[in-house]
Amino acid sequence: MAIIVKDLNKQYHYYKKQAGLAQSVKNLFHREKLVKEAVRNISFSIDEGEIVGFLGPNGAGKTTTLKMLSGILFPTGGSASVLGFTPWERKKEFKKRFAIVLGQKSQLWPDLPAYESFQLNKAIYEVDDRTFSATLDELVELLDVKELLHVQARRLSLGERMKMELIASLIHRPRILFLDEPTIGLDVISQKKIREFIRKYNERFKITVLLTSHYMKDIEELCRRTIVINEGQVMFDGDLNRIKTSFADIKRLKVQFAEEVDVERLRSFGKVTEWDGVHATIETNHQDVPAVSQQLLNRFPVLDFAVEEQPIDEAVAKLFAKGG
Amino acid sequence: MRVFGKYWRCFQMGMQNAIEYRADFLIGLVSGSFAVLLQVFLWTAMFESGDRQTLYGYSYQQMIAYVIIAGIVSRLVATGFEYEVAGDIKSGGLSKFIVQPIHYLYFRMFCFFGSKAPQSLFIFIVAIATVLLVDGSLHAEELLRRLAFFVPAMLLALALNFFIFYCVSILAFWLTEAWAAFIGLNLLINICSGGVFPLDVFGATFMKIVSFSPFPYTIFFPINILNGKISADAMLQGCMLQLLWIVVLMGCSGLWWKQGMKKYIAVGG
Repeated sequence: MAIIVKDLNKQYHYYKKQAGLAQSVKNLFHREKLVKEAVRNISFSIDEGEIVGFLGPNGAGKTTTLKMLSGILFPTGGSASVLGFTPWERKKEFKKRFAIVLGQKSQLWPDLPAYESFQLNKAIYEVDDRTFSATLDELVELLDVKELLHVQARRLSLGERMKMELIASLIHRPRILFLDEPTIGLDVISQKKIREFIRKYNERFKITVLLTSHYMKDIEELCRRTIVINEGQVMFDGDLNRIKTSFADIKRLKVQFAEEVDVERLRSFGKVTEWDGVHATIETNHQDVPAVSQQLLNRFPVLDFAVEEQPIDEAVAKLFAKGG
Repeated sequence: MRVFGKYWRCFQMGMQNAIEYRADFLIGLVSGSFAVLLQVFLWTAMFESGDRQTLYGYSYQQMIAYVIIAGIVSRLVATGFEYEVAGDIKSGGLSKFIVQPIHYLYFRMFCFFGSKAPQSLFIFIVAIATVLLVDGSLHAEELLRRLAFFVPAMLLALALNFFIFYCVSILAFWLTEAWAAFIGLNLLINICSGGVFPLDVFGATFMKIVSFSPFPYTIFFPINILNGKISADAMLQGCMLQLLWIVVLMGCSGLWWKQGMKKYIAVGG
């Protein structure tokens, strides 16, 4: 087991602050202390070489969990073992064996070329010259960034920068990689490239990856296993396709008509979720799709027609709604 | 060896970063020279109107040399990293140092020394030129004797100012918007260090009080070595006090940092 988490808890204390000057003055003398339970009794374990996705809405506790697993935060309760170490003891040997990439925070020096930051990390992690150049060559080839090594980091595009961030965190060949929103803000092509890289790197080096993302695609394509958390609790742990199947009984028919169609007439086919006269989206049960499609095509002047699965993020949103 | 290599690399990074910003340094020097020029006029007028050979124990030449050298030495010991530390604390950037096998204090220190390295040589040359220009009768032997103390005193001053401002930067754990405090403290510390006027100008009482603080040892003391205002014994004693203050502030910063880290909550949930 690469990671074992048991009953992990994290509470934050914060102060209530109401709007207005009078309240501000009042707060100088008395502040109401509130407790936020960011993570509540989370337990899971991850095998070596697995890629596990961490899915949940903003404020669900994903990043807090990653921060505890990397030793940045102390938990309020519970235990965790990462590669046999307790993360928040912050042992040097532990630090040398994992890396964390925070998508919204750069570890590159903006005014220097990324190569200089790699050199710094090489020194920080005490990597010898030969391993350094071998690792760097490999990563540069995988990510196709040879030309960018000597460009000032702040002149890189967001996608290029993220590639450099990944190189910077892999230069010491960690055994575990925590990725917090690695594709945030990137365009579709860059996202795809980052995903491809993560998959290839995982296959080649059997590195354990725990990643959080808002983008369903990241999770769908990379993670055979997903842990869904909401309000600090694990709602689901397993193959994401299982969520999909439990929601797959609902399909969406997207229809475009040649002329305006009365919405009342469509209602008999299923739940009309969108309608503007010529376009309509109708939700119906999986098994009714053939019959409904046939009738629609027969009875209306259909221009375009598509059957879609319910998007997985909506499925997950429903799952959250159920759990919460 | 590798542990040393780590911080040597930080030193180099600081140096490269400073070279990236060489124009910034030159512009700073030019804008700083206006204040110095203003003082030169001020003191010239005061000496001329008073018809006196010395003011506050300084001859005209010594005073002019002092303000010029104070201008450049202030720039040399000036920090600026306190804003970066505050930024790291506020935005959660400190986290990346927590997860890496590196000590934040040493990281900052070696980056700071590195960033000062390119300027140092330039500043030493200007300082020596000023002394020679003002006091044409200075023997080479005497100049070398002063330099033998000035160079180590300057290095110690740099380290001392680093620790003073490292302590100041720790304020950011408690003040989310610390920059206003930094600007105020910067000015106050610069004045108490003798970065504007020689400390004698403020009178004996003030001198007595600040002499119990580390501040005069960052600017006032090294300049007076170069200026030939103090005896060899006082030079040696001053250097010892610099060392003492460095040790004291290093200890304090360690304690405060620990307190601050307890407060530090990495931003974002």
